[in-house]
Amino acid sequence: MTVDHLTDRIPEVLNGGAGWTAAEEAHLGRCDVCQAEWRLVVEARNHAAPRARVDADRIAGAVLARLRAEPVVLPMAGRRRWLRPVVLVAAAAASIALLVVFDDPVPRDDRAAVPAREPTMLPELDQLLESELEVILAMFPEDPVAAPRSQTRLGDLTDGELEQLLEEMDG
Amino acid sequence: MNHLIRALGLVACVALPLAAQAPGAQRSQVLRGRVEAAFIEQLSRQLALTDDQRAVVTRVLAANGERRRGLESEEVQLQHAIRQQLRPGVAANSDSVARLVDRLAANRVEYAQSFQSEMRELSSTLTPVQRAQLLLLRDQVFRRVQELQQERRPAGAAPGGVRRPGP
Repeated sequence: MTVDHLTDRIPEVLNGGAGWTAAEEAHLGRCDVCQAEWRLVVEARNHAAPRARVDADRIAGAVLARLRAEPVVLPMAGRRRWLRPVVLVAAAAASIALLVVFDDPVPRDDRAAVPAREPTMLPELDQLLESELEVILAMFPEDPVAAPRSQTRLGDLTDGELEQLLEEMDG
Repeated sequence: MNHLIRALGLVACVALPLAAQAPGAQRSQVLRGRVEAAFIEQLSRQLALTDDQRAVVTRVLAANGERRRGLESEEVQLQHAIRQQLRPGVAANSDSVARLVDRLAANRVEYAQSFQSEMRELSSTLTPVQRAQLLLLRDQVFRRVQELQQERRPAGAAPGGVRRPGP
């Protein structure tokens, strides 16, 4: 029998679940350390506040009774059904309002406000304003037929075209 | 209430990105597309490109254009970072500045090299004369871009962070 063994047994005996064996009783009778431990634990229990006991059965019964008493209410059913179209209309109005707020009719700067994402052959154009892009666009004649006629030489004309030209000049 | 929250969430998801895309930006995007289409059209006529040649030229120019766009974007970030380091009254971190300057120099070299590699890639598709015509036509565009940017800048103002077009 050791002090450790007896110390370990103290809680079991104190809580009433077990009793001392003859050997333990004999040890306790002659061991000052174990006697001091036993007295300390007994005294501590006597001065401790009573423990709150949780009555699980009672709580479960009360919860079940309350659940049975209150009917389940489905959300937005019956009298609140009219709310749905109202919510949709409000959402649409909010969308339009957002677009109007962000769609500033007076452009502060007509340069691209977001980075260009389309693949490009001429990234140098990214820095240009709209009006400047239009200037660059004007560099390229859309229709080759519309190219300046001054580049056409008389030698390039057919006989018929030359005759027509002479007629126009004469007349 | 749940419906309202869901509806507002939907509004935020749909409307905000749409609103964030300014109409000016969209129009600029469209104009840039038209300029590029006109440019490749002019190129095709002037160089008398076949369909195959045109496809290759478009692909090569677009690939290198994207590369230069990325480099330009990086240059803007590097310049910003350098300016942050060189703020008056704040001690610059020498190591950081050295790294930024090295990267900026490398970026500019890479930018110039993109034109060289572009010509190399086109050498198997275009004749030397066609490549020269391409260079001249694009130089015209670059010069005009540069002129327009200079006209925009107030007299006496220093050039901004925008890289000069062309090699």
